[in-house]
Amino acid sequence: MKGKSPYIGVFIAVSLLLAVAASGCISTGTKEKVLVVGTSADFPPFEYKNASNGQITGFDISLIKLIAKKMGYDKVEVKDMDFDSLIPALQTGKVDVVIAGMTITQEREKVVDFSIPYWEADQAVLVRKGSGIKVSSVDDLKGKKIGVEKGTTGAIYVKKHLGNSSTIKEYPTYVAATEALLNGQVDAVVLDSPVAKMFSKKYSVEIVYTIKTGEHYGIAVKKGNKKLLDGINNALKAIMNSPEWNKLVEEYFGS
Amino acid sequence: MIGTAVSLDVAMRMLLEGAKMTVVLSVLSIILGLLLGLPVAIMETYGGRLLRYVAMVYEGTLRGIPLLAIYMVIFFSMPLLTGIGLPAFWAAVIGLGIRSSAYQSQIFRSTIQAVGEGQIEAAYSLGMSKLETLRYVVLPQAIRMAVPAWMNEYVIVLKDTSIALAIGIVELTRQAQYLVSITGEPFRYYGLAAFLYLIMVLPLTYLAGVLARKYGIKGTGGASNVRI
Repeated sequence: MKGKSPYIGVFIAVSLLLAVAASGCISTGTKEKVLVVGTSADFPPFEYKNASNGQITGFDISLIKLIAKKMGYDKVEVKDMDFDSLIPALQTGKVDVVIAGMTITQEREKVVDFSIPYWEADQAVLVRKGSGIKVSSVDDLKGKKIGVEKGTTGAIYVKKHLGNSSTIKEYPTYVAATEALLNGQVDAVVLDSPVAKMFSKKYSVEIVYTIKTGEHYGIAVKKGNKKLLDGINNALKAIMNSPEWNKLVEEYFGS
Repeated sequence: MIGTAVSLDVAMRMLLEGAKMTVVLSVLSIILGLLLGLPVAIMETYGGRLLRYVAMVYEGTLRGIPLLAIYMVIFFSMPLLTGIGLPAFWAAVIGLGIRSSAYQSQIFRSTIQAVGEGQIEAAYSLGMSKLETLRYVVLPQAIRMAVPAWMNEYVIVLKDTSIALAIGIVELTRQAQYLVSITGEPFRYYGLAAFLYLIMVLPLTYLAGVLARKYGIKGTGGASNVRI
């Protein structure tokens, strides 16, 4: 018994060393003022990866860069992760702000603080072209198979209003949900209207109904971080009242 | 923007960049898993009651929790409880590494136990201590017998790196997601990613067979005949 403990000790020591080496990488030690931004880069045109230069870009990213500049930050560091991981990342200080086409909801407001709204979106109902599905109210979706992206307001809305009467299928991304629509796995997809509009140009799908949810996208910060939130709100107001805003909209939503 | 055409060149560059991360992450994880897994196996087979119990709780817990949950605990819960936050990359290595250590401990436990009782008694009767028996008789055989199963574990670790995208690791699958979201062509890019996983894994499975034949213990009918 006694004889073998050093043997194990060596292994454990090496393993611990590895762990210590790992934790040593945390501090960056720079004097630069860096705003760490969390996003989920699969929501074009709000955030996506530019294939030609490998950078994460989009309306939200350009907007937060403008805001950061106005607030006196030297640099913006974009951290991309799963949409569902964004709020935990904010709460644990992995990121300073989240900008990810995130709708301001009561549930989310319980755990994070939101800026003033910077975008208004509704939920669009997308069906295959020529499918003949007519939707004039949410009730018309009863009994249908509906695709949504998990964790989104579309998913929350559909579950709340049609959870008992329809089959709801959740997909990891909007593209996957829309592919499922094209494949016939679902009859309709409910998703944010700006994205739906783009999809209707790209795919053989059409918007048959818009659920007026009047959702607002906001920039999220850690609960109670009033100083950062005030700075963001002031910068956002200034940008929205300047020609920069129209330029931004034109760049990502123009034609 | 959606519908943007991406040249195969650019797409492959993105995917290969992701594949590089996949390989780096999997190699570091399997090594960490080995460094922790082997002692756990020894504790389970040679330890006293306490060590055996500790080892069993360790591997039982880690084998019983989904990798995604392990990641969430390490990346999000630990900083809240302890104030120590790990960068996503190291959280991914440690999560995958300790999960793999639990599985590796079971590989080594089974091959340690597979070494014949007679050999151990023979070693004792030659005057070898318990430690010497482990070091010179049991482990050399146990490790050789473990090669095929261990390679198989590596393949599993390599494929499971994709789960790290949840905490922000940009590996092969995440790069494919980027491409899909800008082009709207899931079939092509998930297909390419799947193909890349396959060409990373196939040589490994082949290598496992070669190693098993080379290092298998002849005449035992064990490792040398095993295909994975």
